[in-house]
Amino acid sequence: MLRECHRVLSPQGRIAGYVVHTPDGLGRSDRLRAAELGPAQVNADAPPAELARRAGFAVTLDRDVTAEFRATCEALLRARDELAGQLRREEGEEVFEEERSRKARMLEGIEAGLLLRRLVVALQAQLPDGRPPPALPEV
Amino acid sequence: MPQAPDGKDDLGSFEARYSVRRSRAARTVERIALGQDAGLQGYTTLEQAHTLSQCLELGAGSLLLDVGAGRGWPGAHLARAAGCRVLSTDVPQEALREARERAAGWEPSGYFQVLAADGRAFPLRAGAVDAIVHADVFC
Repeated sequence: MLRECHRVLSPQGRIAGYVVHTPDGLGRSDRLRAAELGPAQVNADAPPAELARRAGFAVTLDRDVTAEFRATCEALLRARDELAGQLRREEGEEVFEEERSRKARMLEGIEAGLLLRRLVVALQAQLPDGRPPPALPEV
Repeated sequence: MPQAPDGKDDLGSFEARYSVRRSRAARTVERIALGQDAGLQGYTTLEQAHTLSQCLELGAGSLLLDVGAGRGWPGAHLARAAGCRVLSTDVPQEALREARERAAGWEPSGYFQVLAADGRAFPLRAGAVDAIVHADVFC
């Protein structure tokens, strides 16, 4: 996905996004556990910023936002619990339980240190033909 | 890389999640926990969307590509704030349908466009977009 983003982004264009990922150096069992608790594709060969660099981007911001991620997960679970009766009636029992379980697993993964979230911002560092752009704005 | 549990986070599961009609209670949960009720499947709060907006430095003439946008969050919000155009991309049909409904009533007309495409191949020429946003793709 990042290489394709690099292709379609204009010279000096910016890419910014939040990425859920796993810590470096996890063993096989922890990687499997992370994929069970979080997004199935959460395991990658390198941290998000390194993947962006490999795709040709110049990373300008790489910020850990796991604490906010945890707070958001907790807030979603708390709000769903507070409105549980209404949600069960409107969504149905199966959807309610599935959604609650998904959020609870995510929080479990965060608390276990298996799921992290980062904000990564990067610049288009070269033209599609490999030449550098005319100039890069300061960030 | 570890394999995902069967059926977890594949296209079918995303289709199923987006096909659930969003209840009034679910919208309330989103407003309480995330500060918005755009119907996202991820964890990006309104405050974090503002951070993305600052990082991307969008201008009125920008074309923003939102990758894995689902129903249009956060790209449509960022574009609205900046007065720029947004191209919202994803794969689940139900999410695209809802995004197209939003886009149909968008002002100015044509500033919010929806495209069925995954991140591996955008039907765009090289350098076509000025900025790219993504948030919790695969969450």
